[in-house]
Amino acid sequence: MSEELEQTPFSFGPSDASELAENPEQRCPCVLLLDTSGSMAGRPIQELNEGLRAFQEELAADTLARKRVELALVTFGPAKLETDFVVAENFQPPELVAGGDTPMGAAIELAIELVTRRKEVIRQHLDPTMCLRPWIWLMTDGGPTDPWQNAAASIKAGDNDERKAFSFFAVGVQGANMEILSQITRRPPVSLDGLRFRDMFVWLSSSLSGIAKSQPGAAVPLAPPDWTSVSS
Amino acid sequence: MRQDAWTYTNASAIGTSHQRRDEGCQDHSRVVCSRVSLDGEQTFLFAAVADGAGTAKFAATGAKLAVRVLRKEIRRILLKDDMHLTEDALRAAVLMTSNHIEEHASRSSHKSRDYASTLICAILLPDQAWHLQIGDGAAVFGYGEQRIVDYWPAKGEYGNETFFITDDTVLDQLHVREIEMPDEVTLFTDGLEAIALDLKNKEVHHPFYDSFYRVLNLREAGFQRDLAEGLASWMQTDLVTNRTDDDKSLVLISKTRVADPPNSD
Repeated sequence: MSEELEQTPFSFGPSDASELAENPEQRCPCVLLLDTSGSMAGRPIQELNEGLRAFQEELAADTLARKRVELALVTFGPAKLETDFVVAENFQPPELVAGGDTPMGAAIELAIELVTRRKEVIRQHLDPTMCLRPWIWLMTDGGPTDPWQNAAASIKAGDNDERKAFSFFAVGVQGANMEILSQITRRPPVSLDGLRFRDMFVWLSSSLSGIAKSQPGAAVPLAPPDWTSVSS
Repeated sequence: MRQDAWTYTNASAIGTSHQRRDEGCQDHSRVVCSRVSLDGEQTFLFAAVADGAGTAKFAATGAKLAVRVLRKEIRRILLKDDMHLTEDALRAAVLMTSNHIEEHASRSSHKSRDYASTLICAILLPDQAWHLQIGDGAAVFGYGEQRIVDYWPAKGEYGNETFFITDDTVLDQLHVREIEMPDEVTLFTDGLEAIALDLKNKEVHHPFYDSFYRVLNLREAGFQRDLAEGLASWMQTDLVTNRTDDDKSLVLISKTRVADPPNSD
């Protein structure tokens, strides 16, 4: 090896972006399914709005996740699509207002329909392998005021080890009917410590960032949540 | 110039996402060119890249084990069968490798899947060339101006699922094929797929390969240490890390086009 090579760092490999192939980013769809019923009025809805903004900022700060995580926002009640899927860098958190009852069943069915449709769109337009397993993230401070049995059956049919149509997570805020929540979801619901929405969303953002970049392996180890209350 | 001379280099580098999570590099790559025949005259070039699964506890060990054991198994077959490989023999070698990892795991009371790894391997003998692959990543074989992806990266239902040497179904997912003797062999793990391949149109992105081979093709036979160092630093440039934050491995092999200096060998 000549001295010249040791003095100047040897350049080997593409040095220009045109020498790299261009490929669409893989996508990780996530639906936020947020309870905005009357009981959320006051501080809870303020903290939730603040948490949503933190969520957006965290994801946008991650160079790969902001292109890969796709967000949709559904609120209830009534069950309403606030924001259809956009990549995280284009997500603008709306100012949520509390009011109405808690039609959780209808909201869940809407969320499942959304991820199913989105998955199809991604697979048709990009590539069948470009879609990561979607997440549905439910937050509630109450219990369903509408029939929820169909929604529960759809969750169980779509979120299991054989049929990995999506992953469904539920978080209960104080006042949530954890008993019914655990009948609705397959994964045990967790309780939010106080109104720590911000911490919850920061955790969710970092978990989605991890998932969005995962390459091999079906499961990505998630950091233990630090925003849950100790269950008795 | 020897008929069977190869010029090669390789490197693996940790991705920024693994660095952030304080994990080590779970990729491994290796190229070994040795003489194994009874008369000691025939070369056996073994090249491999392995990507330890992000979810496996001992992914880095798994990737190294897979590469080391498979090479040993193949070497054993070559000695026994007079430098000749068959598909059945290679499938048996993969199964032995998988079993060896399982034994290694159970000796330390762990599960085989704690060592899960993908594996891509090219074997170049004087008159045979083979490609072997489990899981994602790719092998690209060059013939003159042409480059061919022998097998498109195997993915599960979602983009982040793939197949591993430790899977119970390893033989179902294994791709083994004897290929025409190439002039050039490029192996890489899935961390480089998106910049080396046009995945949508299933095409090779030639400028990526040209940037390496226009340098490698000017070299004499054997391992190019300075290029391996250059390759490892290239993997850490912003150009690469802005596009992929996964671990990455690259093996580059070219039929030697430069004559050995006179008096050598």
